[in-house]
Amino acid sequence: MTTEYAVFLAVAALATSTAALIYVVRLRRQLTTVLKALDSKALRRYLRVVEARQRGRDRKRFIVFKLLAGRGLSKAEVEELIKKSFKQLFGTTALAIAGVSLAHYDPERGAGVVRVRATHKNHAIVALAAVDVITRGEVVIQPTRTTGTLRKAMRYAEEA
Amino acid sequence: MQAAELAYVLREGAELREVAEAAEATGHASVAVEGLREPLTISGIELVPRLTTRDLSMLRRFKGLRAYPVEKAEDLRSYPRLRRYAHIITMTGNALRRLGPREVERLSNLGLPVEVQVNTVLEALASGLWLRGLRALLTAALTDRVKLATSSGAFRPQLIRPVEVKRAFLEVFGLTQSHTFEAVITVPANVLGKVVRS
Repeated sequence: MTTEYAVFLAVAALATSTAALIYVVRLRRQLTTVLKALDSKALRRYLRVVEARQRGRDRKRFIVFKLLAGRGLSKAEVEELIKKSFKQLFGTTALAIAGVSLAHYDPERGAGVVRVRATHKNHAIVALAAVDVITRGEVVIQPTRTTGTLRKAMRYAEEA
Repeated sequence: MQAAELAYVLREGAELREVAEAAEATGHASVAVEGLREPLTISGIELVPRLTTRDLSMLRRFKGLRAYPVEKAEDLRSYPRLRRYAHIITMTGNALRRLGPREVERLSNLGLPVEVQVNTVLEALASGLWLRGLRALLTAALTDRVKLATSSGAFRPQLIRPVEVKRAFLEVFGLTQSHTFEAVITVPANVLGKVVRS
């Protein structure tokens, strides 16, 4: 009777410890997933956005573009064309909110960088593409890349 | 999956090599070319012939991408034949302006992908026109009733729009990222892939 009881206790102890071990491994996995999620790029980016908002700052985007037709235009002329296109498509209010400006333009390469508020990135890309419609094909601007910093945008503009 | 350009109109004096180079630069792996007779591959870019006509007998005989242009509600009549002969329905400028939810419902019943050309829309927008048809179409696309496909509708190599522009264009009109991806990458690639295989 005592032996049977001892065996039963040993088996029960073994089963409990195995179950506990499995439970701990599972919990650890879940914990790792949660920790990874907390450290994820998306979450960090979101936190940066929240911090920026609290500080009253907006994130910017830099759109690299290439002039496929209409070389020889000055920086002021290109900026005016882009703003005109934006205004015609989305209106004066949107233009004011988007804060579109030409950050860099190289007339020899026909490449440049447009600075815009992150919320209006897509609007700016469409406005750049619509320049040829407004100029009836005389000037064709092709957006090539979008970056978050001017330094990277300048690098891509030099490669373009 | 690589992006495909569904509409390039070949004009006299245009070089196919330039078209292939422009397609490569804008992130496309294949282009459907209106006016091309035989399929070609130039520097790794597939050029597929395309025909856009309302004549169903011509569409039936054509080997390549068969597009049926819709201008008004009456164009959407011969359903069974249209479904059999056309690969894609193209929305013209008039259709983008005038068609309403009822006609878009007919398009959804047809079950074919609907092509929207970026250049056509930009021209209409620049003229300050109210695009009733486009709005109805985008609403249908958002509720998965219509499969949307974007193309450039270019007639010069410089006017082939990059994938980024097509994506931005749809997102500006309120399409979600997943719907945009489908309209810019998945549907055009599937349509052209089907044509190449057949």
